[in-house]
Amino acid sequence: MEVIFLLIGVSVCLALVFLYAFFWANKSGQFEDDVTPAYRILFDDNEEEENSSKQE
Amino acid sequence: MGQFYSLDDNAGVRPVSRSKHTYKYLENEELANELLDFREGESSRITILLPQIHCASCVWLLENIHKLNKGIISSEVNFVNKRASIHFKHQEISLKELAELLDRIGYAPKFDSPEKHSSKVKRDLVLKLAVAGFCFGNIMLLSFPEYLNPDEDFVGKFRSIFSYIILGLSLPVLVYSASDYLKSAFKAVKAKAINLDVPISIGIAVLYGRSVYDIFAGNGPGYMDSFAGFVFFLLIGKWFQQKTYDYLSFDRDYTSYFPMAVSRLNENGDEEVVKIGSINQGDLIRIHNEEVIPADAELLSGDAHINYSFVTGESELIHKHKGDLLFAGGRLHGESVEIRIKKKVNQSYLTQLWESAGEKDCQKGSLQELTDSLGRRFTLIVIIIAILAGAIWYYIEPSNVINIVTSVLIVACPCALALSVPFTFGNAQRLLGRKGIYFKNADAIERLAHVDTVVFDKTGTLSETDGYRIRFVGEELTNGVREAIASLVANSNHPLSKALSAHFKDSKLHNKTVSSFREHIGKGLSGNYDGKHLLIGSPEFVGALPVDNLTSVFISLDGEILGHYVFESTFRPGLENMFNSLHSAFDVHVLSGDSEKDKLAISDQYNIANMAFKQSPQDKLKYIENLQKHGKRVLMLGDGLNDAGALMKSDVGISVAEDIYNFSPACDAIVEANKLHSLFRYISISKYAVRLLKYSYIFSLIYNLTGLGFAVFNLLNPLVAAIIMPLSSISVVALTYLGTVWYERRVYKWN
Repeated sequence: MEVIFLLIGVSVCLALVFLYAFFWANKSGQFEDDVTPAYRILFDDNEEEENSSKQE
Repeated sequence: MGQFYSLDDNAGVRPVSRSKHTYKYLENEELANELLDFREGESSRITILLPQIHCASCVWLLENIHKLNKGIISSEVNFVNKRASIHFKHQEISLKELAELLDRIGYAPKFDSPEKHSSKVKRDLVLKLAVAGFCFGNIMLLSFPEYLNPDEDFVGKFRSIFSYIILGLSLPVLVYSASDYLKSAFKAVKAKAINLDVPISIGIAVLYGRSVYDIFAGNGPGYMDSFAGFVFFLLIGKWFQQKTYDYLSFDRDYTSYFPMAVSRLNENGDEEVVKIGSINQGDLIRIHNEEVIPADAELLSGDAHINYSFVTGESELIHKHKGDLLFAGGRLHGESVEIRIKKKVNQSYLTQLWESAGEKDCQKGSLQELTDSLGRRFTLIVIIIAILAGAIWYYIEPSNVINIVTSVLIVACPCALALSVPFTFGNAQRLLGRKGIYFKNADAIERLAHVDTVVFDKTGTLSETDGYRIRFVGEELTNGVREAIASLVANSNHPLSKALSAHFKDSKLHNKTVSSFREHIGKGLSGNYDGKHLLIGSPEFVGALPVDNLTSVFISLDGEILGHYVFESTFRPGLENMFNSLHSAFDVHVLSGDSEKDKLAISDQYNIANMAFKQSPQDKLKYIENLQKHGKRVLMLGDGLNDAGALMKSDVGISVAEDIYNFSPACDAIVEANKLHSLFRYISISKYAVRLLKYSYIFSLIYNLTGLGFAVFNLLNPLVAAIIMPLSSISVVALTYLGTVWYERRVYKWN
């Protein structure tokens, strides 16, 4: 059962990594605006490509 | 561009463009630099508020704006804040050109509120919440063996090592997550004022101290799970409050109406653009057509026609002569004039009015007082119970005294009580927001529930801002004359001309060409039609006898008076029902800056006895003060700056706005103009919220009493605490949420 010490250590470290990831995401402003990116994904990146495909 | 219209059904609903806005002030280098986020080498970045953003296609258009002008490198839209961050080369496109470009495509930019508020506080709270949540989860997991029989071999083996890991995990909760509460309580105690944070902090401190003792004494991890959970729930409450606030925040003040810069004349008579803050008493200023008078000033050149609709609500132009004093806030119509500033901007009439009534903000809301007084009493009672229980146990079993006293302090910690206010009023605030009224803070909801007098401003509140019912008095006009009138008024910017023009639009007249059109500002319009001289305007201008108490425009053709148009304000729909329900419970008053022309219409239609006319902003303020002196709690509804003083003075000031993003003076709430008729329901919601708050207070007190029962009989072990404390918090959150939802569903099936 001693393996449980190792497992707990590993799980806490893993959880800390996620906590750090959250800190980073929050700091880099990823939660500032949760609406626009959802719209932005609908926009085509390249208008020229769109036009050329229409002509075909 | 095909994509633009395919993204959203609302695309092409062109946001209102106000091309008359001039952006000349942006030429001022100093001012422009203040507005920029940064300027480096060839490129600059600016974040601009664009209130017109309303759909996905707006985002697309604004993010592709670099295709319209080569000077723009890129742009990024934040839909939630309605802001665009634009990166541009300032050598190729100046800030002024950028502003004009945005205006041209329909997004009139607002520069008046440069992003001052940093989101740092908000982010910090989220991080604190994250840390608390993280530690709470892990501590619970590691405490699990404790909930089983701790004497079993399997558990005993890990007990002490788990305890120390838990101790390590709980440390960040104490020093980081809970720091705000501890600091606030410390400050309160230092100032000898006890608020609700004091019992909370006592609870936190005792909980933590006792647990640390247990850990070092080898008794297991103590109450660390309750401690972390407790802080976590408190922070959720705070976060929810913040979220609600963000969702409804609309801070814009009266200065946004004033221009940011004006043209000052220097000694040589040249115009220079200067920031509004740097104009002084005695400066010569040139005001152009459609510009706002920034401060009280003396008119130096010729005549001026000024629209004071913003100040008085009266949309008719006021004629001023050379040497007259012009009050700040008027908008000039016609040729540019020169004025000499009499008072600095911050001393002018309007701002004075504003500030004299602005003290309400400084006073603490009654809600905060209620919570604080509750906190005081609570602390006192808890300490008394702790001492009593300790004293009694001293005789029964002296070794248990410490145990009992700490248990009492732990379980009495008013977590659920602290959550009651943010959740009850947060939910109510959101519900009201969905129904078209936006509260700035929760206190106002509580004050609204206790209102007994309702005062309405007439212009712009009861009546529509530019809606007129127009009828013609006189012999019916021939189509030809009407066509001629229609094309004459189409050329003018006067509010009445615009209304008349809109009136003719409905009747589908062909535009006749009228030659030698002239606008005589403040008098009327003239032109030639079929070789005859057509005059439209005031009775003096046309040569007719004036009509009392009616806004009217006269028509004459070659000196013969054909008749006049009468303009009557139209009232918003649904008001009759609103007044009927209001009369049953409130004292209703109506104030107006206008003449008595609508008196009969209001008193007959809405059955209102208390009315006052020709009220200046100062009069309105006094009227409210007078009511308050008689012990009334007053709700005031108005539309803008002209009743700003009254709005601020009243117990609750609600501003009625056609466009909630456009202009919102400092008030407690903003209601959408077309939702005004639901006023009675809004008050009912606020009353319900106060009732709900009381229920949740009772609820959380019951929990605390139950916990105290356990504590004084020495039955509070960590397991019981770990169940009772989160349960009380969660049930208060659930009660307030479900209560609000239930109310919305059952009682109000509107929408």
